[in-house]
Amino acid sequence: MLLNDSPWKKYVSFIVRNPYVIIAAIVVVTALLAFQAANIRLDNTRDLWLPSGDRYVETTKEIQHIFGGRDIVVIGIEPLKGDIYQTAVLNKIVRLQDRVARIPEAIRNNTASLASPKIKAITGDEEGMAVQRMLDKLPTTPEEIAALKRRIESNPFYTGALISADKKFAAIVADFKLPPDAQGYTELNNEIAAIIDSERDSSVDIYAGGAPIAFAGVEIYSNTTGGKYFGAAFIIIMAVQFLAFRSVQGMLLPMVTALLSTVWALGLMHAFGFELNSINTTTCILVMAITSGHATQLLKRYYEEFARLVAEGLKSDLRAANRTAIIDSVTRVGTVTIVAGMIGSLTLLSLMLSKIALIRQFGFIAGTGVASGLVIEMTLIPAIRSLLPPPRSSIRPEAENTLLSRLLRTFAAQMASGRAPWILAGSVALILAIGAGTLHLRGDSSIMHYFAPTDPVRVADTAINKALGGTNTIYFLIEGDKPDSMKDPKVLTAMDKLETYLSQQADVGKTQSLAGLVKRMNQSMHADDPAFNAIPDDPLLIAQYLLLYSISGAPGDFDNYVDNDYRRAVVWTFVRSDSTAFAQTLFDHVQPLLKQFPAGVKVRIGGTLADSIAVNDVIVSEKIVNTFQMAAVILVLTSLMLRSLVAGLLILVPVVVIALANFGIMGWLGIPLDMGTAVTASMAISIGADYEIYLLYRFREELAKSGNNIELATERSMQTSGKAVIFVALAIAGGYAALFTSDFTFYSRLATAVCMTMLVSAFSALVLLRAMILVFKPRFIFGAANSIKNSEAGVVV
Amino acid sequence: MRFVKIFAAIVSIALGMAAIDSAVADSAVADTGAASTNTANDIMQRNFYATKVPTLTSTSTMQLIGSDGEKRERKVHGVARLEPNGIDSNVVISFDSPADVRGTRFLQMQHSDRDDDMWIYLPALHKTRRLISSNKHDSFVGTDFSYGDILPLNPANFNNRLVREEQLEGVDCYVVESSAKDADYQRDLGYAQRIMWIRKDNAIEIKVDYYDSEKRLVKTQTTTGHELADAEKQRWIVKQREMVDHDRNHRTIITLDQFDTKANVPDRAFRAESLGEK
Repeated sequence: MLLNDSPWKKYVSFIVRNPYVIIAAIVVVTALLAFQAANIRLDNTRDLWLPSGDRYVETTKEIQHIFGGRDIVVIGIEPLKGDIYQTAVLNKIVRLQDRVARIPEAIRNNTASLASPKIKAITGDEEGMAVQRMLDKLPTTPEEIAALKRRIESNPFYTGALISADKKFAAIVADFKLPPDAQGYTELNNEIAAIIDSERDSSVDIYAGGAPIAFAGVEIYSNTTGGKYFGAAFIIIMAVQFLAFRSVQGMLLPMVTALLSTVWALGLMHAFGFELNSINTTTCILVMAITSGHATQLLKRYYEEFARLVAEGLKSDLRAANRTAIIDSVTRVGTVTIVAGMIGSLTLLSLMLSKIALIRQFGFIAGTGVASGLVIEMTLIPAIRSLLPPPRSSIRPEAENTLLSRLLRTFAAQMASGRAPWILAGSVALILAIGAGTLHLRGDSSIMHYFAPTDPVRVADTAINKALGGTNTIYFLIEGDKPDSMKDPKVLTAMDKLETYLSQQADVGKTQSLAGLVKRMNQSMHADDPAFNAIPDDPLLIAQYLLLYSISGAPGDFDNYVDNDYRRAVVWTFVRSDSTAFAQTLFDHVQPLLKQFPAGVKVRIGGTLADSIAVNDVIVSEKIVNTFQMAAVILVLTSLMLRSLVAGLLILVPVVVIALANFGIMGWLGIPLDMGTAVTASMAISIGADYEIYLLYRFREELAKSGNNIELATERSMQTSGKAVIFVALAIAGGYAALFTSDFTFYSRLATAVCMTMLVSAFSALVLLRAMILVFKPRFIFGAANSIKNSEAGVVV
Repeated sequence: MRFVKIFAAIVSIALGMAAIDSAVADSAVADTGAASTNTANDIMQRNFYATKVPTLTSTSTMQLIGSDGEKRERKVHGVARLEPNGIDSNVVISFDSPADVRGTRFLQMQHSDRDDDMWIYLPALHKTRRLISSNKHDSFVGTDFSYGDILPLNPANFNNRLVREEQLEGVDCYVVESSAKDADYQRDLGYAQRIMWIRKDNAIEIKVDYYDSEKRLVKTQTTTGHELADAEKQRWIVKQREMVDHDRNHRTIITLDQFDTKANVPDRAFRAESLGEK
């Protein structure tokens, strides 16, 4: 395969002879895909973030389906002076309740506040029980306010959920259901913000928190700044190209590839039924960076060939030199370009096996983007190049006397002069030191951490979290095997014990369940005697209390706690900490309590913290699996291409090192594995493999050309492909570096991870792989060099 | 006052326990106003009387149907009798099933001049307790009906307008739009406007759409099975009512299984201390 590249010559000759046909074909395909890309929808469904099929995630979904609470927004109101027992403040609560419930997406009967019709005060005396709305008519007199205070204080069930313990903070907890065609939470966020702004004045602070607000924040950052960063990345990458080629053409052609590849990837995405999540808009930067990088490799080769042809006597006919340089460059690197592109594309596409849709989306865009780039640079670029005027002067980039060239020359000399073992040993030591950081690597899927501590989204969340029971949740779904199971005193007692244990944990701010309501009714029906704040032993009495409440209240009053036929109930647990480690420990510790539920009753766990555990587990476990998948792709393809398993392994080892170093650096720098940084390892592997393949090919070619002169081959491959590797790494890192300026922590984390990854992958290709080759002198390079040299495939390496 | 409505509701049509003497009720209805609204007011007055019977004993089935189709069924029986003032009623409603609430009883004593008295007897507690609730437009015994939906509402408290005449399900109807005159009263009802399809022949509503202040449809009631109870006074019993709560996607069907408008109802049936007696 390697040795007979004459099909390449025929192929590229056809392109050079028929450039307009190729350009027209690419224009048509681009137009079709651009049309598709223009129709792509933003899809900011929260499910995209969660692993499908996970037990915690499925339980959370089931609970939300039965009991509501999927898109909960908490609006917190905090008087700047005094507590909430002021008519003006209470009036704001009434108005907020009313206006929020009127938002079209609001689930009206699931909007709770002190002023909500469903929030009832249960009180008892010697004669009997009263069930009244907590706040019905706005209290204006001291007596009415005192009566409200009594109602609130005698119903602690709502303290920590709708009012803080110190009574200086109240909340409107609203549940929403977005229409199926909603593109995200931004619109809802704006509607809520408008209501809040109209009520906020010098007397109160008002905050909005909850998942819809956080996701809207992500969307707003992505949608408003995504274009800006893409533009900045484009300019930076273009600048790097100019630095690499010192030529406008050299700068523009890779950018044409990059832009078209991005359009193609987005078009293919829509054509294959995928939509784009806001968070994946940065992936377009990756596509642009990688594809411009690939184009750089090819174009650099063109300039080399052009310079060689001019030097060999075609100076008088630069047009002929141009055409021949195009044919020669594609012919010489066609195979390696295809293989490197395929490996890059396949490794990224392997992310399509992820359980998390967001990661699948990333894999698709990046993988098809790289594949698109490959097609474009093997078709359009040679066609355009053949129509453009030849370069004005012969350029020999590899011979430039720049600082970089001198550095590479010195390094190559050191490497070839017997220092390779030391360099290898030093590299291994360095990699191990860096890799040790993996021990400090942690997963963090808390979306709140995507925002800086001073970001309004996080400020609001912190305020609400501090005042109320907590914005993180753990749900316990209690499922009986028959209707009315939840009326069983044993079940309610077990629920109560669970709640008691949970409420004793430092970070648990609030628990709520049917058990609490039953206890409250029992106490009320016994003249509010605290001794009866307990679950009655008699199942009939429990059933009759529940009937009594339903008669006094509304049929929807219990909807959040128990289902229609009392077969399933939920214990809501609100937690101030977003630590998944805390949640995991808690899950372990409650196991004995869960076993106290009677036979036939199952308990499952869900909630935001459970979901976070699921996401972290999947991100970490998939990273391991995906690294193996990618390694397998690389090993198989490179072994086949180079017809040597040793060759495959030789490329694989640095790739594994790159993955290890990538995680290690993240560990040392405290960058957690999140939805963005988790895929940087895949990027590192994909791009790293790419570098190594180019370098290895070039070294083998130069070794053959120079008659096994290791020093010369090392230097020449460093000055050509090595330099290209550096420029590509610079282009990708530079493209992402624009994100450093963002206030969005997710972006700055991602930028740090990508820049570090580029550093490691370039180092691995230029130093580690090179040292390994010189130390081990594998036969597929050193043995093959002679055969290549003697082969008839003159245009090959 | 709220509970005047509450258990007057229980007295009323859906369970066939309405026991307001028509003659007295007639006097409770305000005279109609201008000629343009006369027609609508006349229709609403006829509607107000159409389901009123003096005394009633009955058994009923309530089906509560959740958004996913799950059904809960309750069976109740009740007695109701009009007080000598001809306005207030006393009502007792007893739950027969499900088994775990069997024997639970409520007594409602309406007082037009003060808050109603209400007691509950829980057999598992062996005690009768007084019950105080702020119920207004809240649920009628835990169903999708509110007490205001069940209770025939005095048309004098509403601005009524005949919108059109049309057939609904093959029956000639008046379509009347009805909105509470008083803002507080409207708040009590829990909706801003009703659109009622009232049969021309017997003056019973066969469909009622309830709208909130934003003209949003919140509930829909339909009735079927209209049975003549008193041919002379043209009093009817509605055997089935269905209410759909569009917000909760939940509905309730109340079916009158048996009724008797002639039974003799003793006084002691309406005493709180008698609630626990078998």
